[in-house]
Order: sequence, then C-alpha cells, then structure tokens
Amino acid sequence: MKKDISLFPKKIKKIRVRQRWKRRLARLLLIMVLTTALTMVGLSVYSNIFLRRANEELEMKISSEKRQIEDLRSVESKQVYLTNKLNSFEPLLRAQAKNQAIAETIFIILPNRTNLKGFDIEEGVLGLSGSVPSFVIFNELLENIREKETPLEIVKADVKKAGYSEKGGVTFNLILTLEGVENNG
Amino acid sequence: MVKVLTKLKMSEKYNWLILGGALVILLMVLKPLITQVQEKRAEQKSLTEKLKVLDLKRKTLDGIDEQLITDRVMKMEGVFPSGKPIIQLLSNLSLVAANNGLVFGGISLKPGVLGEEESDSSLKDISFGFKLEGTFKQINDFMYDLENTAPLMKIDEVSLSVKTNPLDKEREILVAAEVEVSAFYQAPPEKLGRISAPVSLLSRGDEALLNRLIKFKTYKTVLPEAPTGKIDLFTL
Repeated sequence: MKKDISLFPKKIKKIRVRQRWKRRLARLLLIMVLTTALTMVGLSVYSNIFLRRANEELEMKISSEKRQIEDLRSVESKQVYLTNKLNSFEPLLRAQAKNQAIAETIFIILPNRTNLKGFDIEEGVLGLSGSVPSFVIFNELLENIREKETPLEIVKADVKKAGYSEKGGVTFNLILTLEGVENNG
Repeated sequence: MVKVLTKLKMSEKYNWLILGGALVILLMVLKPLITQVQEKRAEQKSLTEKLKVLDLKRKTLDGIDEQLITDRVMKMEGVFPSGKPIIQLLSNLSLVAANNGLVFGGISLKPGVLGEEESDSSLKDISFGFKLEGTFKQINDFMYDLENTAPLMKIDEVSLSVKTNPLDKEREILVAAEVEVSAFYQAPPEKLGRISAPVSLLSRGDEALLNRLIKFKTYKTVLPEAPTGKIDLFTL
C-alpha cells in the first residue's frame, strides 16, 4: 500500500495558515470594495434623482420668473427707452448750455449799434468781426470785454484789426479766448 | 506536495482576479453615474445663477413706478422725439418768435428722407435756417427761449446785421438775424435684448437730467384743417 509521506509538514502548515489569512483578507477586501461601491452607486443614483428634481423645480421657478418679467415688458421697454435717450441727451444739453453761454457772452459784450458780421468759435477761441458806428462805441466794446461779467470768462482778448470802413464806421476783428470752452460742439 | 502548493497558489490568484474584476466592473458603472451627478450639479449651479438674475430683474421692474415712467417717456418724447419733428418744429418756432414779438420768416429746412429713422436708433439731427427781425433784446430772448423749447434744438450759427440807421438815436435799433439751428431726434432701440439682460436703473445724474426736461416749454401743435372730399359719394 502506497502512502504519501509529507516531507515538509511544518512548512506546508505554515503556508496553509498564511494562505488562509490571505484568502480571508482578499474576501474582506472584496466585501469592503463591494460595499463601498454599492454605497457609492446608491448615493450616485440618489444624487442623480435628487438633483434632477431640484433642477426641475428651478426650471419651473425660472419659467415663472420669465412669465412675470414678460408681464412687465412695457415697463422695461420704457426704462430702456429712457436710459437710451438720456445717454444722448446729456451731451446735447451740455453742448446747448455751452452755446447759450457763448451767445450770452457775445450779447453782453456787444454794445448797442454794433453790426456783427460773423462769429466763429474753435477750441475755446471766439472770433468776432463786425463794425460799430464810431471809435467811442468801439472803445465801449473794449471796455465791456475788460469789465463786464460774462457767463464764460474772457481770459485773453486780441484786437486783430480795427479801422475805418468806407461807410464811416469802425470795422473790427477780435479774437477772444474763453475759459471752459473746448470746441464748438 | 507540489500539487498542494499549486492548488493553493491558484486559489489565491482567483481571489485577486475576482477582486480586480469586481473593481473594474464597479468603476465602469460608477464612472458614468458620477459624471451624471457632476453634470447635474453644474446645471443646478447655472440654473440657480439664472434664477438669481431673473429674480433681481423682476424685483427691479416691480419697483419701477409705471405711472411715473410713462409720464417721463411722454415728456422725453416731446423734448427729444423718436421721429423727425418737422411739424412740431415749425409750429413751435413761429410761436416762440411771436411770443418775443419778432418778425419770423424765410425758413429753409432740410428734412432728409422721411421714414429713415425707423431703422436706426442712433442720434440724428435735422438742420434748418430762418430769419428774424427785432431788437437785440428780443433776439437774445428768442434764442434763450428756443433752447428751452421742445423739441430739443441747438443754435449752430447766428449772423446779425443792423437794419436801422445806428446813428438815429430816436429809433430803437432793429436787427436782422439769420439763425441756423439743429433739432435732434433718436429712434428708440428696436429690441429689448435677452430676457435675462439686466435693467439699468437711472442714476442721480439721469434723474437730474430728467428734472431738466420739465424746464422745456411744450406747445400744442395745431395742424391746419384742410377740407376733405366725401368718402361715400352716394350719401347726401
């Protein structure tokens, strides 16, 4: 009769014990991984459902807000109209006020009986040309430039030309530098 | 002995194979699920932002006094119209001149193409010239009134010439003025934009500007009544 003779009984026993522990550890790991994974799958599924519902609710709220805004479209269009117009209106008013100040300045400094042939304004420099009946009136014009208070301060006055005209009056060409005027717009 | 060892090793290998396989399968299931969650979270974030913007816009619009804004729009339309204010201009100019006791005439108007303003909401102007006769003071007053009369106008050029003899001290000096004026108009924006676009509120400066609108005088435009023919020729 044949019989297996174990030559390394102690070693084999040791290996078996180690293998058993390894198997247990592998099984434990497998169970842990499976449990974690299943929990994660469960959580993901739940999160998906929860988020989908929350998003649906948000979309409903957005639709409701949109409907309410649509109902207020007339107010919005009026507001947009006003803001749009005001953007253009402000520079126009500024230009208009500046023009008004220039016109007032001219009317203040010109004495009666002045025949103003033309005026132009560029980069804050006002050019005036015309005629007055006499040198006395011309002197009055210069006095006005020097002394009268005007909406725009005259910082510099230059008499470019002054002379007798054929009709007997005094023709003049004045260049006045005004403060606070940059262009003729 | 060898058989036993081989058996032991094989069972160990299977265990690790099962574990690895399980991990791969789980990762394959988990990955799309996690991606979906991430996408939904991003969507939620974007929807929340959108809701916040819309809610703010609705509240802003709710806070605007509709009657007040309607009055302001009407006033603005009178002062700074959306279309070419030709009839309003002519009517108001003659009224302002008459109020200042001036002789008014010689209007030259360049109205351009009628109807072009509907397509563009940029600032536009029409230029026109006219002649006036009166005293210096009357003309000065007229110019002041003109710039405070609706629709919004800006004096571009004024040329003055004395009509009476300046040496005649007994008569008041009459001046003839040729005035070039621009009137402004601007069509409103064609579209309101996206529903989520924010509403810009009026600043303090804007409010001050709107208060200046009240300063502008508006005259009722009177259109001449022309006789019209009968519509139904068979009625008596």
